[in-house]
Amino acid sequence: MTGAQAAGAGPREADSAAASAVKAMQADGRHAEARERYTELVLRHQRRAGRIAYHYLRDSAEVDEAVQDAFVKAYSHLSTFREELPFEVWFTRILINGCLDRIKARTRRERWIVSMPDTGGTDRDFAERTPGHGPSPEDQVLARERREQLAEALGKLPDRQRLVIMLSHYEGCTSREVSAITGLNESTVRVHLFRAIRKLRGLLTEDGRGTS
Amino acid sequence: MGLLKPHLDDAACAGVWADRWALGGAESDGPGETHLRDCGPCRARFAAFSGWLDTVRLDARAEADEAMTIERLAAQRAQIARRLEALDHPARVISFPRHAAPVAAPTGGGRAWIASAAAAGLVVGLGLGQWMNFTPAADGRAVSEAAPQQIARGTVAAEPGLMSVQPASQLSDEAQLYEADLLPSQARVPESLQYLNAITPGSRDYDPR
Repeated sequence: MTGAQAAGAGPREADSAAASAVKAMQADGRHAEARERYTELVLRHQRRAGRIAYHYLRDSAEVDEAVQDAFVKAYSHLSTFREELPFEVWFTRILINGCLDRIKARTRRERWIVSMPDTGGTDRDFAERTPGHGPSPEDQVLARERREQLAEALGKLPDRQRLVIMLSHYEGCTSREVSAITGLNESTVRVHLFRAIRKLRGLLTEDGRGTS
Repeated sequence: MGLLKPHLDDAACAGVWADRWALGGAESDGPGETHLRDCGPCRARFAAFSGWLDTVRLDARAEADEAMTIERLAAQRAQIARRLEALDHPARVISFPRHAAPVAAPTGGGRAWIASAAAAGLVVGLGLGQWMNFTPAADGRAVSEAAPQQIARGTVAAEPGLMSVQPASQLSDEAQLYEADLLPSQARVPESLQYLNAITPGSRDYDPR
């Protein structure tokens, strides 16, 4: 059904082995080697971490910081990592907690700071409008509009539903992994997923926005 | 019987989809699955529903991937590496300005030497001060420095021609100060000028009384 479910346990075992090795190196004081080995984990999970953080924060600069913080925090707390849990699950929990903290901080900031009005086009927009070899400008505009609507609909979901659909559907986590990341039991995860899909469908099709 | 069951709406499709996900892709024994097996239009509707969900996933992932470009990811990796390295090394103190000698705190030995030198300097200074104060007493004139106190006590008679001394009890404070100031200044006049000094009025000869 999803990529990760189909993909066997190979990468997960490799993650756990790498994490354990880094942990042992840190304990022995071989820090340079530990950092070198940890880079392997960073490479493997960086893009996925960026995607998850982006769904929460929707700001590239803040996503950068959140992902960096999560990797640094995971490295410095690797001694608390338990091998029976996949590294991916443990790391994702750190990342999501960091994103939620940032959202809270942002909400507090926005309570006091009046945002500047949106001035519309930017240099990037102009570059995207220029003809090229990719999709036509019309297709690009439609795709962007669709993504904005999707993001808006996703933002309207309750936190847990959003988290569950993001992990299960977008990132291809299994029911057990989502349960481990969220701390919910598997049947509750299934209920949240069902409600999230139903609500998303309603939000995206009520104005004729759906793609079906 | 299957045809009498209501067709699957979006909510039912979502339920079937969530059940399959929870079972890792396997079909469940729920009523929705049973209906799907028997009903062609609902199978088509469910396929369209699954397609819509796939589109949603692809859109969401594409948007995030667009924001996180290869260059951005590389810069992020470099930044992570720097931060990890900083974790393993304690902070360094950078000297400023670059070529200036480092400001070192004096060591214990140096501090003791400075203290000894200061104490010795103080003792030598005090000794020299005392010696210089008492040197004029050798020629007998400095004795007059003690005079004000003795005069004040009424134990010494004033030298004739220099001043008229009254008992301390009869002098005003101002006069006492004047006399005390006058005695040393006269004692410092050299012998060769004593006569000239005696016939010349000075500013100190003014008697407030």
